[in-house]
Amino acid sequence: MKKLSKSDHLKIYSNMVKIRRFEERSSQLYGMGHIGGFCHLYIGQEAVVVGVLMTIKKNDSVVTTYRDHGHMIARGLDVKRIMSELTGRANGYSAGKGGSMHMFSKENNFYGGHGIVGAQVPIGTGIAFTHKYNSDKNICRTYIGDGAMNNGQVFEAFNLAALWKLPSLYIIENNKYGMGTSVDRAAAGSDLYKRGEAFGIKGEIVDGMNVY
Amino acid sequence: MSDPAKYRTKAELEEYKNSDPIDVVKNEIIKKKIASNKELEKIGKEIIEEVKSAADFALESNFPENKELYTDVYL
Repeated sequence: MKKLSKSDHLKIYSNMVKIRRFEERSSQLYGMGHIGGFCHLYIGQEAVVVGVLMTIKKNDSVVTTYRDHGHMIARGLDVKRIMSELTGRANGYSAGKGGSMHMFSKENNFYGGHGIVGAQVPIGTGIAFTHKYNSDKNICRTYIGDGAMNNGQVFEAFNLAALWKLPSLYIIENNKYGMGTSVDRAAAGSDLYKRGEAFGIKGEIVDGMNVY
Repeated sequence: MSDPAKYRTKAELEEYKNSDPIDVVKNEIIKKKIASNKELEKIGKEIIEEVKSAADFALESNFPENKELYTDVYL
């Protein structure tokens, strides 16, 4: 890894703090009834998205789960418009109709925000196919929760990604609970990062609490 | 709360609070003398303002018009 400059360190710090403060405010607004539907906060996981995005190129694509507010902030999107989307306003990223779980910004190569567990994985793999098809040298980063790792379509996507050698990076954010069920009770073999090995996809485990 | 997190014990929550990823960064920055506490506090204050104004902006913004009910809907 390249040595981080002072501005890199401060960028990491400010992005993580921005996500934390944003989510605290979201929680308050949810409690006050300004945010309808579900509202999944990213508090505690800030190091994951900020760490990964420190390596991103401008035109790389990102697709993630329903715990997406922090991902949008880290991608450099406008917090005003993210907050507008959460509160269902017309100037939000999905015109106020997507809410917490379904925010998109195609012009920033951010493809959501997906409410269905695991659904973003075939989508991200398809976006990676587009990058390969267009030979544009960009990659797609697909975030996956631990719950989705027991989801059939994830492995179908892994198979094609490996078979066609797609420029795809899969990041499993294992926060130890999928929809409230602990990984130990839901997954046979808890080494989720090894599950791509059968397809020849190399996996690596990193501490998601430490951005360095 | 959208997620009251009843599945996680208080002890586990405390354990993770004690390894807060933001503190990890803060400690690294201070320890290596990359920036001073004062600089970090200044950044923190700016962010609080930015988030506050984003929330105010959102709450003052208009809801979608009724006709939006029928756009981007596929059957």
